[in-house]
Amino acid sequence: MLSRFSSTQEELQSQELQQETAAVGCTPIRQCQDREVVTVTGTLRAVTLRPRAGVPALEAQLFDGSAALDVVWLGRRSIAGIEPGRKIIASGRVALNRGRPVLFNPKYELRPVGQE
Amino acid sequence: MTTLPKQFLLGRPLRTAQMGETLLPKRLALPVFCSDPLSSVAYATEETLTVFALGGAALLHLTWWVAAAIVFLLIVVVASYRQTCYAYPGGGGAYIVSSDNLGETAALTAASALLVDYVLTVAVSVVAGVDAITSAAPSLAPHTTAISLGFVILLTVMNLRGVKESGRAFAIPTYGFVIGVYVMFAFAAARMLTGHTVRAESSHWTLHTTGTFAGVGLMLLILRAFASGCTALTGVEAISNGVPAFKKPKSRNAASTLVIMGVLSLTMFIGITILAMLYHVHAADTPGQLGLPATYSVPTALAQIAKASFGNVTFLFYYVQAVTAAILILAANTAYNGFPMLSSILAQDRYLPRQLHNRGDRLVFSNGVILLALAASALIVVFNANLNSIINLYIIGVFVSFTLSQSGMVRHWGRKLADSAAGNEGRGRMRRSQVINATGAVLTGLVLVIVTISKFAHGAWIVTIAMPLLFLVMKGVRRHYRNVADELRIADDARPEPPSRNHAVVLVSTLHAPTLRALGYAQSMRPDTVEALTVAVDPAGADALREKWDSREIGIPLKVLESPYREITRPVLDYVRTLRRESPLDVVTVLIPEYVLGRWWEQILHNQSALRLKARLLFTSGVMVISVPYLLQSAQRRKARERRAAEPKKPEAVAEKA
Repeated sequence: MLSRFSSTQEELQSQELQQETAAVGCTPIRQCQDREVVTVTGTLRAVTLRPRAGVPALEAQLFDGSAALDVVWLGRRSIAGIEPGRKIIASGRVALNRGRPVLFNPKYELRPVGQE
Repeated sequence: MTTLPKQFLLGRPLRTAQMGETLLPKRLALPVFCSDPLSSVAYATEETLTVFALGGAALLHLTWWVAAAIVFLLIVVVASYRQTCYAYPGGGGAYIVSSDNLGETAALTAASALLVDYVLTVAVSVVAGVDAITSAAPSLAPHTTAISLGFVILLTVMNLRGVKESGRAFAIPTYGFVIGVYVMFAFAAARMLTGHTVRAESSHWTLHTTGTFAGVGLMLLILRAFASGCTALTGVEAISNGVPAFKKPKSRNAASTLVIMGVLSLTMFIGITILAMLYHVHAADTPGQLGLPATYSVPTALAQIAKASFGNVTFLFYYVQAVTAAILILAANTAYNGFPMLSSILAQDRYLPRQLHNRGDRLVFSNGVILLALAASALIVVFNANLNSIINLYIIGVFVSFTLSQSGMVRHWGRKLADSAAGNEGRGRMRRSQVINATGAVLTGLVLVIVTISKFAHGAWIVTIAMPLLFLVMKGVRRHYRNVADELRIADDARPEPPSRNHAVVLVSTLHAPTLRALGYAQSMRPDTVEALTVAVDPAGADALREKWDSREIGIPLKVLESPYREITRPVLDYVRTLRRESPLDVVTVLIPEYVLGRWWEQILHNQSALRLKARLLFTSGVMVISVPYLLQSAQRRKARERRAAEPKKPEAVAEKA
């Protein structure tokens, strides 16, 4: 009880997300190894809209309370439902891009917002 | 906005090059630096008489001896300080002399003693002057504190205007006082030579003793009387401290001023004491001791002497009273010269905040002047402008600094003698100076002990707490500055090192002119990556922004951050920190578009989250924050207004420009 008051908001949010990861049965992002096929879940912390010129791609950052992972859909500039704050389950093969895990063109499942 | 009233009160700002013009000739230096020691003759005799009054009229003849001791002490101190003026032409206050010769601890002790005493000087002299006024006009008595504070403010403003001008303002009362006292002596001499027997009005009042004093008790009483009389010595320090403010040749002028001061105060002190004894002046703490009703307003000893000397020439009596009140208040000015000077030296040596070393618009150490005024005002308010309680805290600091500075001078000459190749004549002069300073050191040290013992129980203990406290504060400030300097020091082979990559992040709330300017500016810096960052506090707004961004083809990636708790600051901070964590060798440049408005209340309506974010990002390492200002019309109008105010003579030209 006391720790609940003394811990920061960020810690509480991370804890909640990690509990959900366990409940859904996904791999925590921190434990993802390079070249491994994983299923992860979390909220999209940031979604980037790329300019029209250049390679079309939709890039987002998935955070599950243990670490962050980039999800990138190549060939598309936007996908309905992929927006900041949204919870998704994504699965694919992990690649390491400058030290950060990335899932390219993952299979994804949008999870309901708000009530569950 | 504040420039106009400030200019009106303090005068036009002076250029640094005009520094020489604020130097003082001797005739102005005397009132500036010496109003304190000169004015103290107005009450030094009375203080001695008051103490002896405790022992009854039979002890009053001891005043001769005490006065002789004080005269001797004053001669020794003046002679000692003359040596200091020559040895330290750059200003040789107790602090400099002791830090040169005796080390840090002694120097800081002297400095804290002096700082405390300067504050006390202001409080004591202002309150004493106001007391003189209220005893002339008793209806003002309930407002003593307010009047005292008013005078402190007046003195502060005068000193903020600058030394030279304040010297002019102070010259009149100071010289007026000296002349008044001498005229009084002339009158007294003339009347006595023509065979009159002059008596003060208090001569027939019988002293009611509080007890008989003999042996040790008598000794203590004599010492206490001596300690009280020593107020005549305060402020001698100011001249040796202020040598740089003199016109050239600085040392010689300062030394001569010191002698003039010594001669003036000695003759006045001796004369007043002789007249007090001849007139049989009786003085006491309370009217009751003189067998008078408690409400009786006893005139000061000087007032009694003046009244008796001038006889029926009453306008001269009132003249002496007026200039006495004036010089007492102005005596505080000695402290106004000493305190800022000392605090600026201390600040330069990093014992006090650096700001105290800055010269203000009028080339005076304005911050020191203001600090002194605040401290003295606080003292006056706390002690309710009661002279009797404040005066007991006084002079300990003076004698601490006297003793330390004289001991330092003894060391100084010793060192000079040891390593100088001067001929016999030069060595002889040095040895003589050393003997003078040694005598000064021993005597002032003795007086310090006497003063401390005789005044400790009467309130001086407050000073013995305040001084060590100040000492520790100064040590702490010094330690802080040294630690910071150590942290900032660079290695010998250190070169400027560019970060490996620079990520520019432009904060965007909506797509408008300031945003575009910030984006354009970010691109012009040629960082490794540029991106726009927005926080989706309200998802609908974020969607709208994304659509607009896309349809306008801004050409810079737009990153939308989620904000589950509807904050702006934290998601941005988190994001920037993640960037830094992943590549610690890179830097992140955060660009914040900001509106600049002309009025403060308009400012409140904007930029609030930007300000908060800036404050937080300041504490994140490796993050540069750039505000990209966008001048709104109200700001431009304000600029035009300020331009008009700055050139009041050519309004047409401004109109054309606008």
